[in-house]
Parts: sequence; C-alpha cells; structure tokens
Amino acid sequence: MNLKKQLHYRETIWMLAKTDLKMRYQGSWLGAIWVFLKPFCLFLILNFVFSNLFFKHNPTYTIRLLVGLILWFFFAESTTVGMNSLLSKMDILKKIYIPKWIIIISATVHSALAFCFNLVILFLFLIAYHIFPNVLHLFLFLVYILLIYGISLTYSFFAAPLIVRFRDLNQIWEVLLQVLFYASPIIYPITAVPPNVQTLLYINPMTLLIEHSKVVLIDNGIARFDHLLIFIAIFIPCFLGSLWYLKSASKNLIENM
Amino acid sequence: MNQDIVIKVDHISKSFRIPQEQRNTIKEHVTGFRKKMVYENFHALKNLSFEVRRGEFFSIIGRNGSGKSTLLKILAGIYSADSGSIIVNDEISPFLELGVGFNPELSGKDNIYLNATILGLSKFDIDRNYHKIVNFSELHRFMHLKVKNYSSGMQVRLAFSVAIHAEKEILLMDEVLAVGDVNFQVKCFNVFEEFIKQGKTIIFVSHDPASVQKYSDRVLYLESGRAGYIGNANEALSRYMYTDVIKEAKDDSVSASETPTNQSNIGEAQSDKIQGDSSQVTDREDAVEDVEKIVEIVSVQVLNDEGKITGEIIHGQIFQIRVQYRLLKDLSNLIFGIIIYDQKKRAMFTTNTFSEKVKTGKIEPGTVTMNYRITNYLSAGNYLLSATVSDKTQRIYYDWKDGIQSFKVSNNLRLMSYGGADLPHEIVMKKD
Repeated sequence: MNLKKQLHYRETIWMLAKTDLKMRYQGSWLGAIWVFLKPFCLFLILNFVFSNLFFKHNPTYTIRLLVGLILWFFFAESTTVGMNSLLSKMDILKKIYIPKWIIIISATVHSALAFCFNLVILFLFLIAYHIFPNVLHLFLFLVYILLIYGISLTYSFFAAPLIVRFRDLNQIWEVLLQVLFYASPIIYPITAVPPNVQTLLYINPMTLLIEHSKVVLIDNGIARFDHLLIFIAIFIPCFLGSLWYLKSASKNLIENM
Repeated sequence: MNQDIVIKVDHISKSFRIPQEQRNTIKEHVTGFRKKMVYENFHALKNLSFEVRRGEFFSIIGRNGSGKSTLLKILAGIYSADSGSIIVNDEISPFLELGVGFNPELSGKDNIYLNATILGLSKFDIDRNYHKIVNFSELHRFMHLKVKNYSSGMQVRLAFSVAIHAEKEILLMDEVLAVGDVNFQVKCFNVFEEFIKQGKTIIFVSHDPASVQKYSDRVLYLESGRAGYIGNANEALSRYMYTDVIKEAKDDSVSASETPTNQSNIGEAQSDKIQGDSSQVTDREDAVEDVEKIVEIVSVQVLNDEGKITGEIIHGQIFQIRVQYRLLKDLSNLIFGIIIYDQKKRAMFTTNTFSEKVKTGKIEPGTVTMNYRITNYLSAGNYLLSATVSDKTQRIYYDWKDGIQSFKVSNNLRLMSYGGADLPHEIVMKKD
C-alpha cells in the first residue's frame, strides 16, 4: 500500500511536470531551446563585459562565470516557481486533495531538467578548457547540487503557503534574488573582496556552494570539508522545519485562497 | 464499529473567518497593523453528525450556503474540520468536480492521462483502461483534438468517463449532472446503479429533486449547517422545498424592510463568495440552457375564467392555470403536469396529462401552452404552483420548476375555513 502510494506520488509529480513543460513551450518557435538560450545569452553578455573590463589577466574567468551562473539559475528558477506553485495550481487544489509538497516538487522539475541540460554544456566547456575533475570532485559537486536543490525546496516549502497571504512576496523575492546574485561570487572571484566582507558573504548560502563548486571543478583543489559539514548541520534542521511548516500551514490553506 | 458504515461523521463543525477587509499584501498588513483585524465568523457546519453505509446512494440537499460543498470538501480532505471527527473506512475519491485539472490546451488523450493520474490511477491502470474510458465517453474521433475545442457536453462526458474508472470505493459527486444531455444522464445513472450493485458507495449533491428522489437510499437535508433531516428522500425533499419557500419569503421581507441585521450581512458575504466560487457552474448552467435543455418551462400564469391574469381566486369559481413550455427539439409523448402546494408545502392537488389520458403526441419545436381549467374547491389561503415536464416513462424530467407561481384563494361568503379543501356542500338539520 505504501509502495503503491509512493509510486503514485512519483507518477503524479511527473505528470504535472510534463503538462507544465508542454504548456510552457507550446506555440513558441524555438521551444525548449529557450531553456538553454536564456542563461546562455546572459552568460555571453556578462562574459563579454567582465572578462574584458576587469578580469583580463584571469584565463579561467569564463568557465568560472559559467559554473556560477548555471548554479545560480537553478537556484533562482526553482525558488521562484516553487514559491508560486500552490497559488498557480489553486483551481485544482480547491477541487481535489493532493499533498502540497507534490505540487511544489512537480513545479521545480522543469528547473531541474533545465539545469541538467545546462550541465551538459558546462562539461563541454570543461573539456574545451582541458579541465578534467576527478571522481571525488565530481561527487562533491553532486553533493553541492543536491544541497542547492534542498535549499530551493526549503525556501519553497516556507514561501508557497506564505505567498497565499502575502502576494507581494513575489516582488520581494525578485529584489532579494538580485541582491543575492551580487552577494554571490558569480561575476567576481571571492578573493576580489576584502576578508571581512568575505565572511559577510558567507551568510548567503549560495556563496559557499558556488565557491566550493569552482574549487572542486576548476582548481582541482579540496574545498574546506568542515565548512561543508557546518553547512549541512544548519541545512538539515531548516529543511525539516520547512516540512513541518508546510504541513501545519496546509491545514487551513485552501479556504484562504 | 459496524463494518458496514463506511463514513462516520461525528459532531463536526467548521467556521470560516471572513475578514471585513481583505489584506493580501504586506503593505496592507503593515499599514493596518494598529487596527485590529475584524473578522466575522461564518459557521458553515454546526455540530453535524451522520453515517453512510456501504453500498448506499446517499444524497445531500440544501440551499446555497447551507454547507453542502463545505461538507464534501471536508470529506475529500480539502478542508479540515474545526472540531469533531470523521472516520472513512474505505478508499474515497478525493475529487468533487469532474475534470479537475483538465487543461484546455491539451488533447483529449493527454487530458485523460492527466486527469486520471490526479484522481489516483497509475500509469499502468490508465493504459489498461484507456479504451474503456474512450468508449464510454463516445469521443473516439476527438481524442487528438484539443479539449478547448470540445463542447461543454463533450468535456463533461470525457471527465465523467475518467471519474468512474478511478476505481474508488466511495464516490463524491457535486452537481455532476448539471451538464450533459438526457441520454448521457441516463447512462450516468445506470453506472451509479451498477456501482451500488458492486457495493460501492455514492455521495451525491444535487439541486435536482427528480434525480435525488429517484435514486437516493437516504437523503441528508442540510439546513444552514445543521442536519435538518436524515432519512427517506420524499420527506427530505418536502422539507427542503418547504423551508426553501418560507426562507425566500422571509429574505424578501428582510431586504424590503430597512433594518438589515448583522446576520444578513454575513449571509450576503457568504453568498457573494459562493457565487464567485461557482462561476464555472453558472457558466455550465448557461450552457444547459443553450444546448442541452430541450424543454423548458417559460412561464406559469394564474388566470380567472375570463382569461385575465389574477393573483386572487374566489372560492367556488373556475380558474385557469396556463403553463408555457419551449421545445428545442421535436419530442413525442411528453407528460406535462402541475402541482398545487399549500403554505405548509403539502401537495394539495396534482394532475398531469398521463393520469388524465391526454394524448400529447408529437410536438414540433416551438412553444406549447398547457391550459388547466379547475373549479376552485381549495380553502382560503395562499398556494404555490409547480410545473413539470417529463418523458413518457416519467424517468427523465426535462424541467421541474418548484414554487414558480403563487396565488391566493379568498372566500367572501364564509367567515373561515379549515382543512385543505373547501368542498361544495350543504348542511341540513332535522329536529324531531
């Protein structure tokens, strides 16, 4: 019975995500290519501006920028769609009981797929740059990716019920994402800022994950393991807290929609 | 607990807090911070208890805003009750309306898969049942057409087909038959009967008295959140209609007088909300009028013997009831009927073309007027009229309008009259 339920949940998530995908690219000329085109255009612009203006002497600037941007896009997109997922599925939720986390996760499937697509491009770039990370480093990179997804879900589990009552969370998050973007070492290396500011930047969870990803993928170095452990130790209670919050907020959510 | 009880609702209550001002943004929350939020509590369900047995066709009736939909949503798990408990002993279908999640931009086939998945079927089951679903909906040729190009009747057919293949033990049906042509409705009820035979349970919410009466084993009549009556269909329906009329009369008098109470404000707020929620439903009803409703009662008039419209009839005189119908198709052997109710909603007099052996034959599309000429032996008082039209089996009511017209019977000659009828009579006394 439990297994059957699990299977059904998985199928529901996939079905909702598939519909979402179909709707998203329906009638668009380039279709799914946009998934890759949008971040890639931004990447080209940023690369053009910054590698020529500020970081001429850094031969790996382009690939570093790409790592940061791809991870960032994954985070920004999955949090935004995750946050809006319940609100956008309001008409269904009012008519049928579906566990709320299913709706939230299915909304983020698209971002995850887009991210995988972008990963392929990243690896092509790595090969072009003759950078070949070893298995341990690739494994660590995978851990970082999973943590980014975990943070996105944590945020979505908190924000998706909240946005029902505070509709302007959407705008707030948009602005906050801008702030976080510049507060992450994406367009600049973290060493470009003074040490005391660096500490400040680590409040942003994306800073550590992006910085560590660059270290393991490009520098072939070992990122600080203790930092990662502390990060995970903070992450797990936050994630559990978000699950608990979603569960308790779901109780009277639909009638307030 | 008795094994045969599949749903046990035990003293549940549910109230909604309706804020007098809606705050949806943070700015509104901040600027309104000092002011206390003023809520009005709307009690949708009050201490409601009932049980549903396995294999029962259980109907729920009640006025708009009496808590029917709230109750169903609680049963489905969409809302949670404030207090009380609900025990469900079987797999319950989690949906209330047909075609949940239907996406107009997708093809019929895609929508079957989407809808069925949401309703709880596995991919394997859908593959297995796909042809059955399509066959039942009779929409083979349209499976690759986008659903937005379907007529409303087609959409409902498709949705219903998926719903009945969802293989749940308890089905919740909220106004599902509002759309769909007569053939399809018959087909649906055949399916319901089949389900009942299989031991499945159906919980049915409807405004249509004919189908409630025809199929229900038991009926719950909800009266502003309380169980007004639970039991056999006839009794429940007559209570429903009776209170309905009385309430409407009261509401009219309230809105006419210039002292609206708090209570009526809440009522209005709630009914507004309901209207907002059910905009889809009204759309559908419009669709019924346009496409599916093939016979409609247009007007009911009460006339005196000279043919003048009147609201008052003198006792003992002949009067006429004129019912106008509009047909959109040609139909044969229709049965037209009227019912006269007294103020207590007791049927005082009924007649129809079947019982009077009036041959109606084939009728072309257009308007038809039925004229009933009656000698008035009703006692003095106020009366309500209902008009009906059904097929020759009296199984399908094309239209049934309750309390559509009213009239008053007065008696100038006598001081008072008791009892339902005031028959012509004389009294003779003999003294020895």
